[in-house]
Amino acid sequence: MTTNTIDQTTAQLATIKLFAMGCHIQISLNTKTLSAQSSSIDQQITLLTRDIEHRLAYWAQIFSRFDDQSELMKLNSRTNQWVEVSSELFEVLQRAIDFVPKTQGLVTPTLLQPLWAAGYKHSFETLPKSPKLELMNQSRVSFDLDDQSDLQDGFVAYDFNPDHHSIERIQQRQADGQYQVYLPEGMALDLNGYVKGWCATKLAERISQSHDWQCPCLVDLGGDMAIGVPKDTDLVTWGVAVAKPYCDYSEHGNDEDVAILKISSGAVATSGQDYRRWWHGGWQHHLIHPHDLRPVASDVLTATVLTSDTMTAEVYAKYCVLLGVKQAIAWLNKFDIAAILIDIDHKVMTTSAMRPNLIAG
Amino acid sequence: MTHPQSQSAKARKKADPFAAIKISIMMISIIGTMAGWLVLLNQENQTAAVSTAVSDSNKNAVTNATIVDVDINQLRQVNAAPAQEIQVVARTRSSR
Repeated sequence: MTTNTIDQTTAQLATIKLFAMGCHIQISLNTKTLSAQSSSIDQQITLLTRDIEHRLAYWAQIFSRFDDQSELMKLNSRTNQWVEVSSELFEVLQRAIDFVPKTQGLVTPTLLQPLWAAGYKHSFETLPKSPKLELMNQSRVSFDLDDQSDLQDGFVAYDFNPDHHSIERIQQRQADGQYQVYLPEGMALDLNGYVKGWCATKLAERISQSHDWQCPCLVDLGGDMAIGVPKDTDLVTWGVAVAKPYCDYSEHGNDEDVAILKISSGAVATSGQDYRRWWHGGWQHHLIHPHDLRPVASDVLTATVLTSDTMTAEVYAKYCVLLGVKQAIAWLNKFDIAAILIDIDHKVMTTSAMRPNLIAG
Repeated sequence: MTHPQSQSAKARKKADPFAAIKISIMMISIIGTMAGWLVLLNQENQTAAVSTAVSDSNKNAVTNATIVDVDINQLRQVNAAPAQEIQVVARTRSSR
């Protein structure tokens, strides 16, 4: 984990930047109420940063799917038996399961193996982003030139059994202070998207309500954000840009914005098939459709959702991509959800519920 | 002894200067109120026309939806003042 910078951009805004859990993290603190209390804000920010790093490291030990020793991966390796887990993993898994019927089964935590089959078995930074890079990676390991199946469709031989991903087969129980999970044989969990949202909310709550400071904050975990609001204080309005979809792997960045949002509470998250793409016998991305267990072919490039908490925003954004433009629009309208969709032609669509939060760019 | 009819006539003569002023004030008030309503109605009609035009232009793209295609230039024209007051501190995008 690397602490890049601690920026004091204005007299009332401090910024902490980290890299952890495979994503860039930025925490913005409104220090307006602190200047009269503390003579050394920099020192306090340093202490807060240590606290945040400690929590992120702890959560990575629980939820990482790239560490065989993480609690999640140990659970995945011990199916057909009751396994004791932490309260954190129990909570995230329970919430992930609760979202399944709300998303018609499309957003589910049981798609780790299809993700592996698509080539996403190691951290994203290590994945080849072009055919040439994939061949270079493959030349470093034993490679059977007679087996063309991987090159043709990018997928290894895989047990296509939808029952293995049925959420109803997961059991959870809590007794005598112990949290236990039962995973059926053939099932493996990936909680990445859920965990980012959950961590963002937990950090925002920690900084704004239980920390000594109780500081208004905006926690950005790789583009998924939570607003921290201390009790009995005036709301702070934060400006959040909605980025233009990522076009390629150019070194020059993609910092153009399609909209600016003003947010005082709640959360915002964006999901899409624009960034997490890699070459594995063809272009793959990380949003797996549970019906065919392959990266979804959707006309939604990115979806941004504004709602009460970050995990919900992340799940709903992913749901919009999996639904496609037409069904996503109908669903967003039905439930009056604030959202911005960008389709594969880069057309921007905004729900009426989002308009109160839109300001000029 | 004063005759009652002459007393009434005297009373009416005393009230006349004020009556004219009162009538003038009342007429000005009525005219001003009517003018104000006309201005408001005119503004509402203009606003409704703009909203309808935006929605109509996107009917073919989105069916039975209240979602409106947003041109980034429209965003830049709307609510320009608040953008100067709110600082953008973060950017939401697909997972980075």
